[in-house]
Amino acid sequence: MSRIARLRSFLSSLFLRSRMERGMEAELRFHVDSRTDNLIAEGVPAAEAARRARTEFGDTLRWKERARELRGVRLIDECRSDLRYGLRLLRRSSAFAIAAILSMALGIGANAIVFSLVNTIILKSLPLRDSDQLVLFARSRDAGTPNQYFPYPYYQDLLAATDALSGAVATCSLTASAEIEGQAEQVTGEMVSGNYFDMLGIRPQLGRLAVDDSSVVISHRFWQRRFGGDPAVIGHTIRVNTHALTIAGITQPDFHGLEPEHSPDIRVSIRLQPLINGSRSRLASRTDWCVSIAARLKPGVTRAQADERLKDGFARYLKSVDPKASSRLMLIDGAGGRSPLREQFKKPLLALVTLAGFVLLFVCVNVANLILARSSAQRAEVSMRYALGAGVLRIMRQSIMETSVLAVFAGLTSIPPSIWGARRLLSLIAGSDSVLDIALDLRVLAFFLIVSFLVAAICGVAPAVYAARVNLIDGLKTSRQALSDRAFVRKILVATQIALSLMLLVGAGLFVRTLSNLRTTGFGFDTDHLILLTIDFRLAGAGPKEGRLFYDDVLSRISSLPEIRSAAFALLPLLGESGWGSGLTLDDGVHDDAPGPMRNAVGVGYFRTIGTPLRSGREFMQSDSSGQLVAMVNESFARKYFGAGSALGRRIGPGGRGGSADYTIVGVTQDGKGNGVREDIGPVWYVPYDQLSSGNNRLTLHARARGDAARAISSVKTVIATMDKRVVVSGERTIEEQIEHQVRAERLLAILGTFFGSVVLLLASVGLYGVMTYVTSVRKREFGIMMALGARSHFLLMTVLAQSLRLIAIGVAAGMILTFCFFGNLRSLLSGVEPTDTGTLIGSAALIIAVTVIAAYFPARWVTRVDPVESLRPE
Amino acid sequence: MNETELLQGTMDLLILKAVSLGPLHGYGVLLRIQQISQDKLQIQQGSLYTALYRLEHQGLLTFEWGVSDNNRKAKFYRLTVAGRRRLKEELAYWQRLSQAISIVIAAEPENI
Repeated sequence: MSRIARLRSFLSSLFLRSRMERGMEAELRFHVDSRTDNLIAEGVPAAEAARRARTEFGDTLRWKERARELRGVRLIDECRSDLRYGLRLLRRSSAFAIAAILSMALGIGANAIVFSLVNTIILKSLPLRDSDQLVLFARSRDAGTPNQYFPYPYYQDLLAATDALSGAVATCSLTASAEIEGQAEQVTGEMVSGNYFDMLGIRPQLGRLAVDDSSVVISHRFWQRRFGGDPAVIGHTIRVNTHALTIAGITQPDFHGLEPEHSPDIRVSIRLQPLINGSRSRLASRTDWCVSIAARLKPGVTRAQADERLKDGFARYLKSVDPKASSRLMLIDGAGGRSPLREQFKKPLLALVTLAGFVLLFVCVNVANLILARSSAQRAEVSMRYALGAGVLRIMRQSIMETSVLAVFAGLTSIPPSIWGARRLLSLIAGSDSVLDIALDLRVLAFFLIVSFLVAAICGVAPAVYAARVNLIDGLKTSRQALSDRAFVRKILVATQIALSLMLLVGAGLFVRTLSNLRTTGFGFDTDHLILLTIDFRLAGAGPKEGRLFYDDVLSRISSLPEIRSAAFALLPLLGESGWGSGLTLDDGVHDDAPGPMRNAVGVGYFRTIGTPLRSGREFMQSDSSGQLVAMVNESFARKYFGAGSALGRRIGPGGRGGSADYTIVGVTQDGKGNGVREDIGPVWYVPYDQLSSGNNRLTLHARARGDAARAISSVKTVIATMDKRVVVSGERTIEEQIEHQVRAERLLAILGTFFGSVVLLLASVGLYGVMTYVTSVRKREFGIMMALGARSHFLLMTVLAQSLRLIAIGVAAGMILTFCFFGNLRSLLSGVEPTDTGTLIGSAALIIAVTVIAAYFPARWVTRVDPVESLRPE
Repeated sequence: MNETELLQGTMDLLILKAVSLGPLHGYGVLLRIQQISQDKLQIQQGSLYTALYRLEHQGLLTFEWGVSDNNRKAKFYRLTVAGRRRLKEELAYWQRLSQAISIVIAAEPENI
């Protein structure tokens, strides 16, 4: 009761403030007036009565203040007046305000960019009902990376484990050709267990979400893209890998499945797997690790408990299929879904969070420095307020209030550009077909708020503490001692800035070098104008013979295009992140069990086309297709299996039982990069694809373009489209695009690192300029005297410059120490360069010294133009 | 003059009591206390208002604006239900306390 009354009274005095003030005023006046009347009635003369009434009452101001305090509004009053005062100060020194706001905005923005990326890639949950109940199944051996594939029979066993799970789904990803109205195209898809939509709690946008032997569910995105959002599409038939299915329903726009970054176009029943893949059923096999499993925990069961209840079952299953196997079950938190991007970017983002934190620290130092740099009048004002009895806390609060105003402006200014920047970076790293988007959600807004006030508090407290320490009288006199005291603090701040910027520049340098190392070194082939297209002929339902004819036909037509210099097919694309191993048998009987060395099947002229030089022997020729079995190997292969001896003429073959060494080696190629830009190729052997016994009707064209690569790609596609409508062309790209895709994490690091580095370098040099200007102005009289005594201006210039150089040197030295302390664990993010790389360190230091010396030069020059007479005039 | 310093905490009681006899404005509260106590209690005028505001803030008093005898706009205080309850508690406490004190000071040596 009384608490409510108090709250009501507090709120009414807060919001009905003027009414309360007026009321108080009226009441006190009434009191004094009535008392005056009484006194007059008692016979006191009017003037005297009024005076007595007022004196008896006492200090009205004080009583009113007491009343305000009583209602709890005094604190708010004071904050309000601090705010007003702060705004007034900022208006008065608008240059300072703009500099501080820009500086803070850069710091807050840098952190917001990184945080929005972290939020989107790492923190965000899937938009599913009770997503915190979701778990993903994984298994791992020792400390290895968890593998998320399981046999389908294990999934079926799981459905009985109702003491831990309220449901589980099995999925298996799919890249298929879909024929829609006679037009084939490649679609991405997912084969899902029948309970998929129910278990995840998905509602349809249209139709029914049911997958059975004859139906397919399509995504909202695919519906928009392929059918223009036409509702009549329900009931239509599409052919998925030649198998006719009816469109049963469309999912909602925000649903993308269990992977946050990809949205499969279609979902079909997992029972259709043999039909759709055109192979034997993989679901019946107890050892075919082909499905991913996600499950919902039973309400009230924790992930650890579920893990405990399920692990024996998994161990039993494993024992039944392979007594020697030793992996164990792991349940992974599934709220965020299955995200390769998250795995890949966890570490780079963590590094960026750290760097952004240093940028923020830097900015706080910078703004604190700016605050100290404000005019001495300001400083006298603070001392004056002390002298008038303001408490230290009150002054500190005022100072924080003032920086809060700055920080709020800065936070607001930085929201649009940082969201824009984060969006650009995200599309850069996730690719254009990703469905991830940077959202300005509550978490991001809260982040802006918290960081802004953190900055405000740090920036505001430091100068206030400093101000509180300084003697009042000194402040009022603006004595030279006090001024040079302040100069000392500012110098420390500038040295800190230089140290932090060195560190950030070194970071940027390391990332840029890593990126350029990965982009340029040792591919083992020529990346210039090299284009890749995957051509899938499986939909035509053709056998190996027809396929071979088709690919020969494609090749001869493409080779005659003016845009193509040369072209060849290969089973596995360059830098393709996929491998094929089939063991190895050597002619001396030595076996290497599967997977053994990597293997690839390539066409005539493949190595000439991609520009990989031969070390010895020859390339495959047209005549090989009908002749004896031949193979080529790379240097690593030759070195590993034949040592110093020549590989030419030796025979090799696939491993395993029945493997025999039937392929004669005819050529040795140079090594290069293998599955990705980060991996060396290792031993590889090549065979001509038309010597393979089973038809491989999905090959990747490697072609060297003449002129514009994009035009060459579209010409090739046109040629193929006129040949057969059932052919699906996908993954068309230049090898450079492929490389860029693989170095996206390094690119993010390099871009943001450089951004951070340049921001701080700029701010540090402005900071140094400011401080040196200040220092020289403090010593103006001194320089005047020196000049009057005959010092050359050259000498003065050197004196001032030396002072800056000392500062720079201290900063750089401190920065080196910081770098050594913090950058050791960057190693895993670097390639071809050490965290303490001397070249980068020296280069960064040189850059900082050059920029800061220029910044310090101008104030020093100013000294030489000091007019001795002018400077010696009393202040 | 018979000035008696107010015991701490008694100001609230006096105000509540004064107001309980009928709605009063601040000046009226002052006059009524002086009148009832036959000028034995002197109240600092400013602090009266601090107390009034405190009681109002605690929800023990409520007020409305009206016109005073001398035709001026004035703020009239009234007890709320909570205020009436508080007054009863305070009175009961005060009586217990003053009884106890009078017993103590009336004590004669032979009674011990």
